[in-house]
Amino acid sequence: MIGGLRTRLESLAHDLPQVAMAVVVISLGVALASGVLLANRSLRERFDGSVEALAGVADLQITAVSGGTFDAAILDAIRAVPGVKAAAPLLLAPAFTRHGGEVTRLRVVGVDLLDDATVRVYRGPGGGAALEDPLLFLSQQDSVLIPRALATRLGVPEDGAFAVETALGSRRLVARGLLDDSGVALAENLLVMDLFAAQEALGADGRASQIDVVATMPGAVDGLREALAGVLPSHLDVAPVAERRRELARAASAFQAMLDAIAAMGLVLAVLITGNRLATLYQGRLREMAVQRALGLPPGALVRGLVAESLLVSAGGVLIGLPVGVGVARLIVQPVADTMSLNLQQVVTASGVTVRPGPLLAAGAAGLLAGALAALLPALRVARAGIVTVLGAGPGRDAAPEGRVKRLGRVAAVAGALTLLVLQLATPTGGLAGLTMACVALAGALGVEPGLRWASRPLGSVLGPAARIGVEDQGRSPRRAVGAAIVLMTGVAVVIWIGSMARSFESYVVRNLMLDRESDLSVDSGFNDLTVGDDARIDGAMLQRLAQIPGVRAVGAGVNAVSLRPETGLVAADPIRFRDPAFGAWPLAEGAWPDALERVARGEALLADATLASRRALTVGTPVRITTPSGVLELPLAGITPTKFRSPAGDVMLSRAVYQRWWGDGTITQAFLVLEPGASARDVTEAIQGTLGREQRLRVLTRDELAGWYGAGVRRAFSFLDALAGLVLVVVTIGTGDALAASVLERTREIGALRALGLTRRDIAAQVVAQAVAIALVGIGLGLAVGHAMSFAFVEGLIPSLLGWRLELQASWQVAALAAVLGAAACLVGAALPAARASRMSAIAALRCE
Amino acid sequence: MGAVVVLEEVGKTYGSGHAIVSALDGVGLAVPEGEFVSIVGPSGCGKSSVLNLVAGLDNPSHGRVLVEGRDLATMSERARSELRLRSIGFIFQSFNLLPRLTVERNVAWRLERIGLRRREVRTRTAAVLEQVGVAPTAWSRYPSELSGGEQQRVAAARAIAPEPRLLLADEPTGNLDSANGRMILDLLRRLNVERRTSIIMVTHDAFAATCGHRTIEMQDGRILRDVGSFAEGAPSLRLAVGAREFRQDRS
Repeated sequence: MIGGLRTRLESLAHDLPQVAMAVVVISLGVALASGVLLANRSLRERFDGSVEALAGVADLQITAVSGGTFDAAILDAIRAVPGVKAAAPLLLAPAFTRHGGEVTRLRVVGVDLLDDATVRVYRGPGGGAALEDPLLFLSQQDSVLIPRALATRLGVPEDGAFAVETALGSRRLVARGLLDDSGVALAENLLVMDLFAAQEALGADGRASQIDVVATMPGAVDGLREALAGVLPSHLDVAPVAERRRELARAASAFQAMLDAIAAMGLVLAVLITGNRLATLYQGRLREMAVQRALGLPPGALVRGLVAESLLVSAGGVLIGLPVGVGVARLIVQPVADTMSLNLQQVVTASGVTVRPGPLLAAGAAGLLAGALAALLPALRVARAGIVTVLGAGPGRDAAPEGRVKRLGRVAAVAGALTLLVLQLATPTGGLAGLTMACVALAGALGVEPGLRWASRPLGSVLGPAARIGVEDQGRSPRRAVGAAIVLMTGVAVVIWIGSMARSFESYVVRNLMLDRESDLSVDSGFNDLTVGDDARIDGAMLQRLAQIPGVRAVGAGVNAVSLRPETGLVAADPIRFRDPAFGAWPLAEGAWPDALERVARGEALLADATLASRRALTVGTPVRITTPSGVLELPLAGITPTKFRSPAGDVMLSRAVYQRWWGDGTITQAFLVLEPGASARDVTEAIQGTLGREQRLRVLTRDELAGWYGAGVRRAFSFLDALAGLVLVVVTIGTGDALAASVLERTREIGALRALGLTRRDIAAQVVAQAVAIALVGIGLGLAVGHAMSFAFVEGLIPSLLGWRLELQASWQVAALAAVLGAAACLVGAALPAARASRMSAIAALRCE
Repeated sequence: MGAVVVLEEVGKTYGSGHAIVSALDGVGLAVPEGEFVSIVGPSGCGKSSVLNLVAGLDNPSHGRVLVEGRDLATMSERARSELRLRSIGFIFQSFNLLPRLTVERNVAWRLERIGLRRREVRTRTAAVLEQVGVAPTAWSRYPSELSGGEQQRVAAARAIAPEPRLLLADEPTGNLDSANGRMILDLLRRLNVERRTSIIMVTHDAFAATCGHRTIEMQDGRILRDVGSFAEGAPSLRLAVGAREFRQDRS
């Protein structure tokens, strides 16, 4: 075994530069895969850990059906229900702190500290009591318990003060106790406050976000749930904690599946490039292997030996790739967390990456498998090569003519992909979309070889006689080039797919959100600048004062909320916003009532967005029932608007007067101002900031600034995809360079002959560049087609199925042009080295080459 | 009659220090226009080094190599390539046809590179292929679909297509059976007679060595013997066709 290993290593050492390149490619694939997997798992662990740590030993969880907070006075009634061992209220709110120029997202949790230990675990340093002096803690309103790891990260010593931004403004808090890294401290970035202090700090007097219930008999949870449902008012919902966890896990899994797909794509690219590289390596050793076979080595043993060698190569790649992957994970974890927050509508924190063996093992194993897979095809090919042919005339470079089966396969793949795309257009579904994407990618890959053949003739005529030789040579037997063009096609398609997806989100979100936000100015909480959403509440009473500011013609407010029964987002707007076009438009799908907007403004009907209407099969006229704190609200559906992006489940739009009446909530999330003709937006902004803005932390934005802020939020959420697209382009550069280098190596003798027959060094370099141009044309052309087709299937089919949003594909020529330019640049950069190498080749040495 | 190729006291060494190997040592040679020179000698005697130096693929360590009166050492890389493209034809032992170009394209590309118009390229390609005896049915085939003799004839067509004044042949019959070998030698002779192309042929084949006007025997990087010369009017008559035509031409 050792002898075998040594032989393999010696064999690889002879082709060190080529082996090194294969190692680099595998390591890049492994780095991409392990980086994404690590970031993904770290966030998921934190997310699950937070959910679990916060839930503690609770069996049931009581929350408001309409989302948000509810009156905590119900606690006594809950505790009185037989079978309830403990019931603990919890108030949750997002907050931020700044440390060393960085903004850290926090969650403020208000709990009844004297009682909460029955549900959740609080441990101080060394496992002791978290609070040495509970009385001091409770007597000071600014007291918080802080996990030790977080305190270290923020540089907050015990009893140290630090500033925290909440929706109501900046607060100074003091760390009066440190939590050991267990129990609730596992809920990442948590600040624990006394419930009453938190209620006061967050402006939620007497309110709770949830009540966690521990059953006396864990086996009788279903019965207890029924008993509690009997006691609770209709606007409160009780559900087993496990059910809530499952719902969250389902939502998180869908997002993670998308990231895993990107990681897998990195490995697929690695397989393609490494396969090409190994094929060249084995081709160069064909004669040696023919001799071995002539001396009695069976083909099976030859294949096994070559696969073993490739496993050694991939082991090297894995060893390098895994540490690089940890770096990649650290690089992308924050943007991924932002994207996850946006998709899940939950606070997902990203304080570093936990290096777990699972993702590393998975990426490592995938890297080894990729190496073995990459070696298999070239190994089988060289093992099948005729011994006499190889030992006689040397290996031929002529491609075997294409058989009927292969040709039919190509036609069938293209026909299948087109059929699926048409089906997708007619009935978009998640499963069909996945199949369509796979089929489109396959059809694109199979189209590369004929594409290179067809492109060679016209391209040869254009590029001049010397370059034409290279293009024709490649067109006749494009085996090497096919690999590079597939890699390029995949790269361009991925960039377009990623770009189109982000662009679709951005433009659709911005366009749809701005439809009814056409007013001159918007006023909302300054806290929104720090969050991924715009849901921070402000006092509704200020609307009258806003209306009195000189230059303001009309004011219309809105409030965004969620409802759990049914699961939907709520967009409540003042009647004037439905009536006065200066505030914006509410475009309605065909079939809406003619007086739909007036009926909604009067509080007699509501609107649903396309996502909700599609998910719940709602039609105009259907009564929609929503459980509110005041009972069940039932209003007919007057029309269907484009998707509003409040909830992945879809949104309902109704009059704010109805919302105020049924939800008993006078706060707002945004106020929109229409100015008098000739009034200056700047003057009005300054007037607001000078009065109200000073009292409450307000943000005043013009229409363009608001659109820009929404766009920036989406771009930030998708920024990690840019990093991935960059990595893909690096892989494309290497792939193209590798394929062309292999081609140069194969053509060494020909290049020598060409030089002897009068071609200049520049002519030889031009041939290699021309080959790169052909690869670029075909790869980019197919990449554009495949990328757009995949984007269409993904946006129309998979996003609604995975994330819930129903988007429209925004194909952007800028993204396509960028992908094409970057792809071409990657290709030409990749060609530079092989071209230089080919042109520097000594004609005499090349002619002597076997 | 001017010399197409002149080698003046040419030496070529490889390596450095103790590992220095002398491939050529003080070789002097002049090849007049229209002369067919055969260079013979054992392996490693420096035959191929002479060809490489004449083709401008390599530089002498000392001495001068002049082709068409121009010192190759003073020419740029690009100018030497241009010289090879227009004035020198090269025939290799292992043909070195481009395997993924058709027979026609293998010949045509040099003409295209020279800058001939498309129609002229087509006409001249057809003419040289006919001249070397490649049937039109084979023109659209690829090299792998041809016999060794056919491949070498295509290689010859490629070499003579730009109508070079000098043809270099490195063991042109080395990979061929005797019948095909004779056919190629006959072809070279005809080219020499019909076009007055100067030919320098390196060979191991004793029979082939006597086909030219002049035979140079080399050993250890030096010229051992130099027999016969075109100028002296003593052409070899070994090949019937070539000899007859040569006689006619001479008369």
